[in-house]
Amino acid sequence: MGVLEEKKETARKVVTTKEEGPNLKGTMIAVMLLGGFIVLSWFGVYWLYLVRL
Amino acid sequence: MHMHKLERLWLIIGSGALVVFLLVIGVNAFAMGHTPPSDRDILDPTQVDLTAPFDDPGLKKIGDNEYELVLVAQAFTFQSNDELKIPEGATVHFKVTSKDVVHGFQIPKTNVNMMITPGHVNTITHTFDEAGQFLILCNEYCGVGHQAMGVPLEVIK
Amino acid sequence: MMNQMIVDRNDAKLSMAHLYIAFAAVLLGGIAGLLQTLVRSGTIVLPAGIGYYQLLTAHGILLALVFTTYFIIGFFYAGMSRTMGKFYDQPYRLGWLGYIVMTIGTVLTTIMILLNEGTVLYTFYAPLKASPWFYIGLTLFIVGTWLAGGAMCHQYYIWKKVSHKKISPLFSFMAVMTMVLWFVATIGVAVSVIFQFIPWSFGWVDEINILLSRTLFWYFGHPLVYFWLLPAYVCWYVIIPEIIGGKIFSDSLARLSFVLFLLFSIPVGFHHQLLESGISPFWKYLQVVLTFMVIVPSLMTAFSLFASFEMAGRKKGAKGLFGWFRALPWKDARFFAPMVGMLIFIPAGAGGIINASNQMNQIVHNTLWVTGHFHLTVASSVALTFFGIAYWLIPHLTGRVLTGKMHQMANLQTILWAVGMFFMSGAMHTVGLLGAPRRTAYTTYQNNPDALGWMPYEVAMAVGGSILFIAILLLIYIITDLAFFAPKGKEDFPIGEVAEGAEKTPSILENWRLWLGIATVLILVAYTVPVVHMIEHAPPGSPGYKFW
Ligand code: HEM
Ligand SMILES: [Cu+2]
Ligand SMILES: [Cu+2]
Repeated sequence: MGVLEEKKETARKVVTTKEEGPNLKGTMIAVMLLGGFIVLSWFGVYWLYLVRL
Repeated sequence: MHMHKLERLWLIIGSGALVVFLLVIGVNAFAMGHTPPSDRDILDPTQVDLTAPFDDPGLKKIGDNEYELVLVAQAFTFQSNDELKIPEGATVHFKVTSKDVVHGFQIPKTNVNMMITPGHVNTITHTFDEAGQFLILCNEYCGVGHQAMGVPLEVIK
Repeated sequence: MMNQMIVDRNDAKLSMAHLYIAFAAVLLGGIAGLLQTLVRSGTIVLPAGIGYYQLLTAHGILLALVFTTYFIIGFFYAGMSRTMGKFYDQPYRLGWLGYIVMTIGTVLTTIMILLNEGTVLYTFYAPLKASPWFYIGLTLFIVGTWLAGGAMCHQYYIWKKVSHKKISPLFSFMAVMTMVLWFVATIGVAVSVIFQFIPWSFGWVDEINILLSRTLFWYFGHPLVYFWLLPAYVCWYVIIPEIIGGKIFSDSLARLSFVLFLLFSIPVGFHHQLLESGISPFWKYLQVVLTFMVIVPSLMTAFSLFASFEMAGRKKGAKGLFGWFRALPWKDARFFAPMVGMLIFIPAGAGGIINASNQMNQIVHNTLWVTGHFHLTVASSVALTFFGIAYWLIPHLTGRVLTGKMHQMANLQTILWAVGMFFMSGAMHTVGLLGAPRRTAYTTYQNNPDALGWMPYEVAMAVGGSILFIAILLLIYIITDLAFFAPKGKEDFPIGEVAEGAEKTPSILENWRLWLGIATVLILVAYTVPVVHMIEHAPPGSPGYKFW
């Protein structure tokens, strides 16, 4: 690999880590579970509203 | 401002869910006629007994199994000149005002729930598909007897 | 500007003065709370003279106003002193003046409640009419908080001038933002109390416009709950990352979420008046939409918090998707109490979205569901976070240390609180969906079958309430120990640092004129038309009633 290419390579790496940032897969799953809980309880009460109409 | 791509995704999904909630209740309220009780009629709260229809509160048949139930909330009861008995399947339009302080108007097991503020009339409609004992209760603090402020409503076969 | 590691001794005194009153209020309010659950379940009858609603008024005021506000102000003074340095003379003296005025107001209102001249509950809805001194006490309380907010803003202003910095420390920014929110919010209730309640209760005017008074109250009432919540968010954003050995995920996003709270937490008061006459469904729905906007910064907060946990865990070598969760310092009381508070905020927030959902409010409005809801939000998420702060803040301010034994006691406190609240709030949520109303003494509505069916839940509430009361006694034991008896030493005041590689904070986030301007526009959009209608189409006003 030439020096220039190597430089390009590192530059690309820097860019990607900056864009992707740290590994936050666990966080994403945790907040999605939280979101799922909210959606379920909301539709639960909405259902109660509809049956009581 | 820089944002982690998963955070952006989460915010899109989360806000999307909020938009869905808003659309569901928006359509249900405005297209299907289920806006929350928001009557605009007003009256003099010190002259309730002299103001129609509250000068003669009670049950009036206004159509085929359709009734208007006019009630006056006051510490600590709901006043009516008629017995509160209605046939199964009846649609009842409740029309209520207060003679003194703020009261609540709620019938457990149904969606009937509204605030009764003095000087204002509030209305709500409910169809009682099943016979049984119901309870009209006040759910806003109105004084020492607040916990006693409830009257039975009977839906008969 | 050097980062001062220790709160100045005088500032510490000012802060502690607030914390003493805050925890005294918790003890008194807790006694009232226990008695309420016992009365409601039919376990006891109050000894002659004390009314249930008198007790409930005391409970609401002591816990929702006195405990929260004194704690928040005390915490902010300490944190600003820690991050910006010792308070300058003028703001310092203003701080004490605020404390004195607030306390005179609190004492006056408490006396009126004890005399049974103010049994109108902490929301004091007209036309129930308390003694004028009850309202004057509340006014002094609010004016005192304004002086406190003024002290903080002044300190911030001088700091900015002296340090020539565009960006203030995150803690101080958040504290000032919370107080600015409080200023804008309290204008509503102050206008109502000063121009409506006081002249009417003295008899200078005969009548009061009910709907207007309720609208002004709820203009204040919703941001009030954010005033409780934001200091907890300060702890979650700024302090917890340091305790868990991590970094603040993003300084800019933290500030952005606080800006969004200022913008969207005020023009939303109608979500407390969804079932009321005299407000059109259109304006109610508009405020419901704005209410949903204020959920977005909380979604951001959830992500940021989990992210700072995951990054801290991974840095320590935690593996797998959830290894970081186990790597958290669960035995550290400074972490455990606020963390349990955060977890409780998940069901609490879900419940809040349901409450605000326009016509769905008919299912829950003024039922025990609502009481269950805010015992999760303010009485658990916020309260546990405040307790978790006190565990290190009090020894830091009194020159003592939080020992290993006290960590264990505090963790037991948190567990008892969570268990007690599970029973009490869980039962309240369930029986609320069945239709049981809130704010009622013992009642079966003349042996109505539905009402009789609620009794087992009332008993579960009393069981939960008793566990909670034990937790409160334990809390007071811990707090007393930390304030007066714990070994002398140095306890850290943890302040997190921003993660490396996080971008520089844009200075637009501290453009107060811009944010206050937008907030004003939103408030005018949401309120002008309906309020003008309320005034122009007002029915004759109401005289006062004393029904207790
Ligand atoms: C020992 C702990 C506690 C117990 C047993 C308890 C119990 C109760 C009960 C049973 C009620 C409802 C009464 C009714 O609607 O008839 C109530 C209301 C309330 N509680 Fe608590 N509570 C506790 C702690 C707290 C805390 C820590 C806060 C706030 C930080 C709080 C704030 C409130 C508020 C604002 C109300 C509403 C008052 C009203 O409706 O006017 N409570 N509490
Ligand atoms: Cu009542
Ligand atoms: Cu609210």
